[in-house]
Amino acid sequence: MPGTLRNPDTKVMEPISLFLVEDDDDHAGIITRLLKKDNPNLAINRAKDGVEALVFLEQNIEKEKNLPDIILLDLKLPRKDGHEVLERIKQSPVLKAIPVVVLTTSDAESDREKAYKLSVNSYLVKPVEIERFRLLVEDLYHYWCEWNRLPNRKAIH
Amino acid sequence: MAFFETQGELSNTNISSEWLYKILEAVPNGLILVDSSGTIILCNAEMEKMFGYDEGELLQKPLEMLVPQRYRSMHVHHRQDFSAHPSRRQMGAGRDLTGVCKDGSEIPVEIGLNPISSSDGFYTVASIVDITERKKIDHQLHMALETVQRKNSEMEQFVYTVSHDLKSPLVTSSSYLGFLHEDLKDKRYESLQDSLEKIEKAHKKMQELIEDLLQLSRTSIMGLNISEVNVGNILLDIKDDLSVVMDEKKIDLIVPDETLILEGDPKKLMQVFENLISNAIKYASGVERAKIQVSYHDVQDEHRICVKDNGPGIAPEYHKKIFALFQRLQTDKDGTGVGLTIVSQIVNMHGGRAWVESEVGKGAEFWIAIPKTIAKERGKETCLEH
Repeated sequence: MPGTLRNPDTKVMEPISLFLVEDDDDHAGIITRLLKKDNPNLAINRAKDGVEALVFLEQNIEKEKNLPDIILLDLKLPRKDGHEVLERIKQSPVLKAIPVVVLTTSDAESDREKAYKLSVNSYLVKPVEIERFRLLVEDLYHYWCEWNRLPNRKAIH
Repeated sequence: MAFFETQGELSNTNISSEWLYKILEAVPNGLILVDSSGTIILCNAEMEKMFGYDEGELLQKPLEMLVPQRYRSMHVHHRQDFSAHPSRRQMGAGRDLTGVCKDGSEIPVEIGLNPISSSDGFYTVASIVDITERKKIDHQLHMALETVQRKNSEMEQFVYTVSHDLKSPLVTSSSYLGFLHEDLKDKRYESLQDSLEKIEKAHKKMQELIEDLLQLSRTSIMGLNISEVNVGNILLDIKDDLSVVMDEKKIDLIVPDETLILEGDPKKLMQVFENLISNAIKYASGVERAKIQVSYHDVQDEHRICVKDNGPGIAPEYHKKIFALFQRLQTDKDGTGVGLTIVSQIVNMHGGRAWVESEVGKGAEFWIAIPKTIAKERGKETCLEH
């Protein structure tokens, strides 16, 4: 139930900014709608492929602002796939502090293993049933954006 | 020498030299006896046959004449080592041994050595087996194993991509079905149309994927039907079929005036050109004065055909990737990412290659090369392979 078990500390924090890397417009629409339903203030930026994602992140490092608090990353992306994006994020001294949650349709062991070897923070598979998808996105938000204490945001912003 | 007790001449006490000689001649391996200087003292018929010599021709000859020139000096050393430390053993442990025949041809052999000491000196018996056939079978087995392993990993990749790519539109349609219910219940009618369209699009996508996959599997299951292919006619047919689309999208398709006749599977090559041209249409559409040009190039032992567009071009790092299953550069373009995979598969079946030459902003040239003479057995081979 929304609001019943929330971490009260989160109330005092600034709104969370989430970076969604997803090539499929429909999936991006679904995830955004599910995320925004209970959290209309959540700021969501989106990149449509791996190259766009890295350009966005690198530009924001230079500007030293607007870095996301959390990254939701699809794996199968045009131009540069999710594993490559993840690798680059975790190699960057600035970006590596940002939690990266893979959200993909692939449940292949090779993909999971590769992602964890590249230091992914969480690996989630998009459920086919909408009710489970809804629960997953809700839990994801509650866990990563409310219960979880993100790194000192000043340090990365 | 011990023999099992039998009747007649072969008794355990007395074997006539004639019998011994007959046995030696009947042994299915090559047998030779060499003295300590490396001279051949005795040699059986199988040995002469194997190396192409006449009866008695090898007697009193140096053993090294059966060894390829390049190994001779080394062989003398090995032989001397063996005399110093005689023991029953396989020759060449782990290495491939080669013998040279009278006509200079070389054969792979396996050799067993056995030292014999007698009152008049040190001798070595060598038993030689021609392993040409075994090598051939080994090679075939090795090739078959490689094919199976390659097919296996292709299969794994296939199952992986199929499950991923079919699941993706399924996630979309079931999610929007859920939203549809939700919006109906809450009387938010304005988004119903949008959800319905997304569901329809997802279903169409799944249908396309399944059709393309069936086509891909048909391509790989059926072998080639080699005959004369008139590439010029194929291109004109495609141009005819596509004329409406071309007019609509204002794309110019230019095919060569002359024709090109080559050897290949007409139906499959038609598919190749259809895929290449529709691929070019996809990427050239929207470009000012879009143009697709096909050209023939005669290069040594292959026919090369180029399909050139003036679309946005492709950066070098994607040149290989785009031929892989379900790989697409832009998700917002139509298509499933199977077309170029089929192109490369068909061209490979013909013993040829498919590649792309392109730079960002400079259009793309898709090339295929088909050998002028296609191995006659190729069609069948491919059939067996799958």
